[in-house]
Amino acid sequence: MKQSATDKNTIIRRLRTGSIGICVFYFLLTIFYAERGIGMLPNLKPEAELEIYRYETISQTVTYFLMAAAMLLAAILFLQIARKGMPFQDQHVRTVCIIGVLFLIIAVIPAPAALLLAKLNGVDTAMFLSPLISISALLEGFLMLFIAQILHYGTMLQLESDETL
Amino acid sequence: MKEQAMSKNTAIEKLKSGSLGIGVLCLIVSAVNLMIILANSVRSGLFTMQGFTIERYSAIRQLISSGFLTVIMLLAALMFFRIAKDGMPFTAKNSRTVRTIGILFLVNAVIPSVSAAGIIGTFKGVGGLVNPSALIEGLLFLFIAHIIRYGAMLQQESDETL
Repeated sequence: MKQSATDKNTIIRRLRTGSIGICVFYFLLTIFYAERGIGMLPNLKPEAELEIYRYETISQTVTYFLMAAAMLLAAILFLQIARKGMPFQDQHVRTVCIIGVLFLIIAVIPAPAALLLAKLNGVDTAMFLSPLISISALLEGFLMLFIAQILHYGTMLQLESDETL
Repeated sequence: MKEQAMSKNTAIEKLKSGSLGIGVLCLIVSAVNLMIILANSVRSGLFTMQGFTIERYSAIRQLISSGFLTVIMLLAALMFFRIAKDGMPFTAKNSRTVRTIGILFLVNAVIPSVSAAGIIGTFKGVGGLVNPSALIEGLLFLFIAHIIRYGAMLQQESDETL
């Protein structure tokens, strides 16, 4: 029993150390995507050669900002794990769920919404080149929701362990 | 206690069905990935190219990297099928599988570039030999392996208590 507690403490310490590094990585990714999104803003001006490119740019800008939000949530998640050393908590399950939902939104909303907006404004949409659905974002979204289920199960085990102690 | 057991059983059922779907997806992705890269290699004439060209280097590197990715997806599929069978994500076996995936990503960060440069006979003009994104993914999976190992300890405690 004593050895098991020592092993657990060792793992928790390693999780805390590893989480700090991964948290920094995701913060950098947040900055990267936010910068990309901000960088696209000047392209929204009406001087674009083809009006439809403005709407494609809207779609890409929204996608970058949503990705930045997802990366920020991931960074906060790993920061919490680094602080407490407990990966299996209800708030972490909720965070991963939200990240999954964000990916699903990225997969299906920006491009169709931009296309609809263009059509409503009477713009010729024949040259709209962006794919309407991002398959990779869709798969990542479902994967995140599945990981949230795994974490949820882990949370139950953690609760049992805490109650036993 | 009874309600808790029922919630756990519900969670396990959801994990089983979800794992099956993801396992099948991993298999499909690995098969499609391999077919596409082989088709591209044949179409680009990779197996008949000679000497040093950047195209040959890129094609060889991509082929080796895809081989690694195919193995990674197969390992992931096996792991998800195992979870679909017994409903237990936190086992020592799964922790080892995820660690192996992490190591394969780390190897994939370096080996394809080095091997391709070795095959074409020069390291000059081939650019960076390390793939940073594969390196980071490798470290992330090694970290996830630790989380699964921690979960396996909790699972063992839970089973011993019962």
